[in-house]
Amino acid sequence: MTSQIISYCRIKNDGVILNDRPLPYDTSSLKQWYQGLSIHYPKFHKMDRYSQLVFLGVEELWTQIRPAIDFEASISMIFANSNSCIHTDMGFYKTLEKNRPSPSLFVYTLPNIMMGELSIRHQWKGEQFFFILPKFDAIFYYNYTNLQFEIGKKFALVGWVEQTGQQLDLLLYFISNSSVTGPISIAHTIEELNKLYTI
Amino acid sequence: MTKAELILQLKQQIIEQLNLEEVSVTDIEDEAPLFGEGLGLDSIDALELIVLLESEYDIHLDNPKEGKEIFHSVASLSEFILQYQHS
Repeated sequence: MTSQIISYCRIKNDGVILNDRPLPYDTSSLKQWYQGLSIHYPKFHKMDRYSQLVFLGVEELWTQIRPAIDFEASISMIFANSNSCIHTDMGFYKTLEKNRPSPSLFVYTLPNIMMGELSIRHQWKGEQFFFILPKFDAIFYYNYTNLQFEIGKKFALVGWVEQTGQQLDLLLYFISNSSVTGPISIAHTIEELNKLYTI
Repeated sequence: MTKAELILQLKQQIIEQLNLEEVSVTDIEDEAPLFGEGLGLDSIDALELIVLLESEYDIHLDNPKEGKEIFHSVASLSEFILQYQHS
């Protein structure tokens, strides 16, 4: 079985691309995007902005492929960035300086949301990984995703979820190692991963 | 301060204290439940609201069991604060 990228979402400061098509949302204000999806998920409002971006991006991806995927299918999540949730951590550090630390600042931050809220929201029960890497590494993603397929997994949600200063750099994609197809079909290769990242 | 003014102030303080990104005061209904549905707050947020009462209104909850009723909505919270201030 040849694995295929069946849906992807690229998020940068200047916009959102879903499967080669731009979405009409401004990444500086996520309320419109959330309302546009017509979902009710109160925990969304508790997330830091970066987690909200990933939540919305995954929501878009999942809407595209959900009808085709068996709900019992095990979906592995493989995420990475270079600094975890340092931006929110720094905000929490500032509350320490005011002698009133805010627990709500660090509870709903990036890795927790990746591994927890997404699973709860979508009822995914597969394996979960969050790596800290110096930069987007297509070879690492390719090899690690294939490891999941070698042990019998059929689907993987993969993401490079980076923020450097105010610069957003997110790439989220679903890979199928089954006969299930999606709105797009891109060969799961290192070359194609690098192409997607340069969009 | 009138009840309406207090409710508006509380909404602003809750948004700031709980770091509710993308939420505005108009998104919070006076009578809507703060926990579970509505804003979907949880136990961590309850702690934040207790800290808010202490730091902004100098109110210390002696009996945590009172919290469920007091923190039901912004309206109930405002009523509790006004009663406390006039007692």
